[in-house]
Amino acid sequence: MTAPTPGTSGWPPPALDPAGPFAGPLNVLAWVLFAMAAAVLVIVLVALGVALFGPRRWRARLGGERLIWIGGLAFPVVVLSALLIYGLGLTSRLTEEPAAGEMRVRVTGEMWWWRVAYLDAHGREALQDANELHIPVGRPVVLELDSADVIHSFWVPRLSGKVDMIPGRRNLMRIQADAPGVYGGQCAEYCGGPHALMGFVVVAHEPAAFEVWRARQAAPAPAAATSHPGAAVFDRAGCGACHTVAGTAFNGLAGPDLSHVGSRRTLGAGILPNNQGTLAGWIADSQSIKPGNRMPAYPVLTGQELRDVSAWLESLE
Amino acid sequence: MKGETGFDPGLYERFPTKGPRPKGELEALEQVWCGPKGWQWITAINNNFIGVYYVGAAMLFFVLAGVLALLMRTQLALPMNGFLPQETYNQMFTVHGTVMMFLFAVPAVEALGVLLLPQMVGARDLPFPRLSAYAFWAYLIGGLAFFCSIFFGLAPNGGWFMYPPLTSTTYSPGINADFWLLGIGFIEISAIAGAIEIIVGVLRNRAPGMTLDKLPIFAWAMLIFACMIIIAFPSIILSTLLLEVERALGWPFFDALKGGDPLLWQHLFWFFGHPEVYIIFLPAAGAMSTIIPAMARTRLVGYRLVVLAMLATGFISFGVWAHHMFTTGMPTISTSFFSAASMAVSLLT
Ligand code: HEC
Ligand SMILES: [Cu+2]
Repeated sequence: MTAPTPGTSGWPPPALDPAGPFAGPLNVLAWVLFAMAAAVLVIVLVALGVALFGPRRWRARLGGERLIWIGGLAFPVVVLSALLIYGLGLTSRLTEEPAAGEMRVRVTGEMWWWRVAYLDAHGREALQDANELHIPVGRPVVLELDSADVIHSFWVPRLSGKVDMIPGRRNLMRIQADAPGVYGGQCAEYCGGPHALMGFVVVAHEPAAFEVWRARQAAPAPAAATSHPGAAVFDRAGCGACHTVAGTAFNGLAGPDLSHVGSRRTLGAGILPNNQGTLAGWIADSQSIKPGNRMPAYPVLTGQELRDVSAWLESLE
Repeated sequence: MKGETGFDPGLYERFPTKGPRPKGELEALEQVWCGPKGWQWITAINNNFIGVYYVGAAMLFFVLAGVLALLMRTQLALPMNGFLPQETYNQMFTVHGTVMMFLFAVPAVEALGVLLLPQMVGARDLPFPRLSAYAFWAYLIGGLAFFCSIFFGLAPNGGWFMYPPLTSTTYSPGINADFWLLGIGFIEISAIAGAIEIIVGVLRNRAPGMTLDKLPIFAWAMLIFACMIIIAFPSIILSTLLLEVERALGWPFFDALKGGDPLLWQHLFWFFGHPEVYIIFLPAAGAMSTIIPAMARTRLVGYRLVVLAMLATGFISFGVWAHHMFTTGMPTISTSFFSAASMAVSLLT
């Protein structure tokens, strides 16, 4: 098995390094709460020290009921009320209703990968992708989160808190990146089997670069690509039953869309860097890389067939 | 004058007795109250013995779950370590969490109550000794059977919180999840039996003259603990029952496709699961409030305030369960309410 690939996917995602307005306040709140807790701990330790070693008069004062009223009730009431009001104020922006014109993406949790669909202005699915979410920097993007099977939880720590993906419900979440870059994510609700290997990448582009990316995604595979020997292997092995490649006859829906798999940063839902070698390795034996995942292993493919099909997939950019 | 049960309170007048002791009384008493000999220990019902067995069994489960934790930490020591297969790991953390919560934490504090309470309130035994013996044996045998499922690879693997639909027949077709549902259901019934006994013991079996405001603080903690069990545990029994009915008979309580709702489980589970935290915490706090003044050779400062705080903690802890569900997309108003309640409960603890 391979080690995670930090450079390619931003993985494991750092939890205390916010990179957008929906993650920043959470980080501030976490540190404020931590500092308060540390201060209270110090007070308690000092009181304990006095109780054990302090002069008699001090100890007598610690032992009175008055201290319970002040230290046990008044002090926490004041501190906790202040923290509550501060915290609710800080996080109120996070749950604002999304505005009408905001870009929307539907992300569906599947055992153990992510289906991604970019919605157009009418809420129709305009672009299909998987395991990778591209966004323009500097503006909020609304995610419609749902699930195809069990409960998953969408978490890109540098961009936002967690929101669960629950069958039969559609939860909304907003994310925004302030700078271009790659932000790692991870399924945050135990979903059985290889749950720990259910990663995710968000790629933030400058607005112009994002439009370029979107235009390229919308274009189907070039006609030349379908005459590639790898396409024939793909056909013979029956991969098209589960995978879609836009512009070809392959239109399966059980697995991730592969129309532009060559341009993805990772394979297997954020766990492998993407190159021809890892592609061939994944196809030959995804079951030992990600045990229990829903794609069968293909030990039957010969070395040549693996080289062909992985070269073809790599060329689908 | 006789009470309605036929008991004559006038009998109290005879104590303390002054006349000569009947012959052979001492031997007869010693025989009645002597410890079990040889194989008799199995049939012991006095709380002194059951209490010790109970504490011992809880410690056994603590060690067993601890061993699982060590194995898991070994697996986690290196990324992509191949020490434990994935399925084994998933079963282990489910069993670890379940054992720690249901077979160690609650029984351990309940065991402490069985062991210490009667003597603290001046009784010779709990009111229903056979019930506590039954609760203990049901717990030990049920717990061991549950734990052994891991040796056959049949242990539940849906996490100790067992969220459906992961634990529904579609995604957990084996009998693993049924082990959990039935096992935990029965263990909760045993916990409720113990709680009834503690409540009756504290309220009815106190020494003459021990009014509630003179109750040892630990007994107060156990009284509140037992009342909380009686309110909280039916919720988990109900949820295990519903899920088992869904699994066995196909009644869709949690299946969104057929009109159920997976969140129903989470509400039922955490309505039990959050008070559970205080169910474990209160007896420990009661024990500390007993031990520290004794060691420091003073009286407990603010006895009434401590009792009040424990009562309020027990009460408010039933209003905070949904803070385990903040990520499920609840409306802001409910998250704010549950945040405030969670802060209120921390205030009193
Ligand atoms: C039974 C349905 C099924 C078949 C048949 C199938 N796959 Fe998959 N494939 C999947 C699923 C499901 C995944 C996602 C696995 C995961 O990450 O959990 C996947 C993932 C992949 C990925 C990685 C995609 C990504 O972005 O991570 C590639 C590449 C791939 N399959 C190629 C193939 C090829 C080539 C074949 C034929 C030799 C094939 N698949 C046959 C279901 C299938
Ligand atoms: Cu998941």
